[in-house]
Amino acid sequence: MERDVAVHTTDFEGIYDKYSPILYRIALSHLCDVYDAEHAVQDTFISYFSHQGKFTSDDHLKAWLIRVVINKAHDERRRQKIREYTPFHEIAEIESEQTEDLGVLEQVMILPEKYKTPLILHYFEDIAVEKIAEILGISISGAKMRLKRGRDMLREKLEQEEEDLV
Amino acid sequence: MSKQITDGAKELYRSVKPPKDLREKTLSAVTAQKNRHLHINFKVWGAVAACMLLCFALLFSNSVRNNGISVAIDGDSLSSQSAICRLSNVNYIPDAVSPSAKVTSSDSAICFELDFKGEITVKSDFGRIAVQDETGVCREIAQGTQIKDPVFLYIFPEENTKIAVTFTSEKQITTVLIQKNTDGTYTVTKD
Repeated sequence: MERDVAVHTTDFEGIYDKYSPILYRIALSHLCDVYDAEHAVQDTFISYFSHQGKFTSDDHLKAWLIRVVINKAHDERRRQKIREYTPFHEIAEIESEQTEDLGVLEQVMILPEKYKTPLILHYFEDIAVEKIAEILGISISGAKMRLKRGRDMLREKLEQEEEDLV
Repeated sequence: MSKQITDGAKELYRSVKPPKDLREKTLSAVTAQKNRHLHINFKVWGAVAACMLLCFALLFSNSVRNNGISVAIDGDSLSSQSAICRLSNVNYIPDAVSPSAKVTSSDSAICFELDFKGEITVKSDFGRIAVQDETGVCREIAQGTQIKDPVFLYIFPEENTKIAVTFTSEKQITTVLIQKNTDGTYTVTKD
């Protein structure tokens, strides 16, 4: 059933609470900067507030928000100057003794964006391939292809890392 | 990717939470945006309301001009409504009155709303003539009086009599015949 999820403040707060973590993580993984990620998230919610269209379901809304935050992150990146590389877990203040997991996470984050985004959405955010295709505006087979290549690249990097350690 | 590896990395990734103050910041930003929208809407609707008020004011002033005066000729007072507001089947534009003249009528008088450039003289072979200037003042004029500005011109024909009104400008002389019918309407024909 179609419903209008726009405008009301109480609804808005609920929507913020529900979707801000995923949007923030995606923004941070793209921008690698806390302030820029915050900015992208804010802009996304402002866009949502201004959006006049209707969402047919929560999934539809979620996909729309993710698409917007990715676009905002792209816009932000275009404005950015080149930054010194800082590991994702440091930016995100992730503390863990599981160095292997941290290593995988870092390797995902340094993949080319074209492959990183589908991998994050699929493996970390549990979004179906069909939805990823919709979010990224590509075909389902295109999304599958990017996932496969992303996995292959990640595997190569992890194997390389292991070899370097040995 | 091995499930174990991805699960571990996924857990770390999903432990990332937005800063607590981001909620407040975002809500403030959205509220500011909302206010901005309201402000813009207020501007738009304010402009629309102002236009509407202006239109109403113009209509009202026109209405006052047409309705809010009484016409007194030789002590006979006619209410403004009876003077000009009740339109009948008369709607005639004399050719000589350039560029236009709109005719309305009532039971007691027929009103020509004259819009012209230059000067014209008005003469009727029977009945009285009165003009109402732009301030709303109505006065009787003598036959053949020159009229310089656009005015409302009132002719007071008698029932079942036909009177000829002649408009004379530099270029043209036009005569119209006005007859008041028994049903209170007027028939205006060009001579």
